[in-house]
Amino acid sequence: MIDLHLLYDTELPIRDEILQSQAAAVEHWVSPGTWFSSAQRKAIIEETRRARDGDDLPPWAGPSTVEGLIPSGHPLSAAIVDIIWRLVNHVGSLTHSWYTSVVPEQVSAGEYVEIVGLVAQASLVDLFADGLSLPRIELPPAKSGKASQEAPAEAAVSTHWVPTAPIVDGSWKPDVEAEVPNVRKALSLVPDERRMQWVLIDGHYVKGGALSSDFAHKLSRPQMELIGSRTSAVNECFY
Amino acid sequence: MLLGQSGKVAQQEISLDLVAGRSDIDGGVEHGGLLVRLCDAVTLNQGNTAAEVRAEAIEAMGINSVVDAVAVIALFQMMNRVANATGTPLDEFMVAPGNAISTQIGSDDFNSRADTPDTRTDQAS
Repeated sequence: MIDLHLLYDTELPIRDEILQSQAAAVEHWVSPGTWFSSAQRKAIIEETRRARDGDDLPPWAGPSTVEGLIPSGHPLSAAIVDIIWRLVNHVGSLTHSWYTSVVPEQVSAGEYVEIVGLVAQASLVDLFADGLSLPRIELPPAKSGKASQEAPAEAAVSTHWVPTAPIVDGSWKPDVEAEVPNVRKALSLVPDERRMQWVLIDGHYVKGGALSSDFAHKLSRPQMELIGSRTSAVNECFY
Repeated sequence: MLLGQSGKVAQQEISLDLVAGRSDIDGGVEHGGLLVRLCDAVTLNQGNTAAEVRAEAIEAMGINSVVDAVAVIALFQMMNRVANATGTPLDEFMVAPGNAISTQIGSDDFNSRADTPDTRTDQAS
């Protein structure tokens, strides 16, 4: 486990819950995944950072369309690099027709969901650092091991573009009246990404989710929900 | 559309103009206008502006609250990407409140609007 105090060299009062969840995410990123090796996963995180800091391309022009923007010998395919840049820089432009143009022709649904999970998690962790003018967390070496290639047998396309699976591990809070919200099962095709999403939600927001009564935060609830709503509006997210 | 649900929990009126970016008043939320400016500057990666707004927010709210505010802004970078990239529709219990405020905050124009069936016509007929 990464030493929490090595994540950020700062005197800022960052809650332990935030540090613990981000440390868990970094460990997760450099570990073997479901469809990608640890080296490929680390490359996805690094490409997420390159996209965030990179040239301001329009949504329809992936980096593969610009000569020299993807270095030769890049560990990821041009299609995956294009997907990453689109997810990072044009989150409001994503449509079902775009999704069907990349899945399954360029990546499998499982690979796509794993990419989405990693890019989304890295977007959280890096924007937290950027937003506080802190250096981004340095990535440790990729761990050894192989991708598990295990998918939930019950997964199917039902409510989302991507196949989803029932949440069967009992980790949803039993005192919350609602079913698991749709956004919490969006990554369920790749259970490890879904679980890491939940860890990060608990660390940065409200343990158990927006409807939970388990509320212990420096901000008031209306302040938190205003931030969530405004951020979603800026990112053009209807959910 | 979390706002519609959390409004029930907090039993507090929050100005939708504030969410839509049409107002710089606090809109029923303590330091609401300042928080919206912080959201915009951090999400849009506006370095110098973000630093200025953050300093103003620290002065007004204290450093602990600002660190937590940036944590929530960051959290929604993840949630928005997960939702938009997977075609996540609103949950059934969120559809009615979502439809009720979507026009007011401008979210009917979002691409991700298409992921949730619009039931307003059905309700009217």
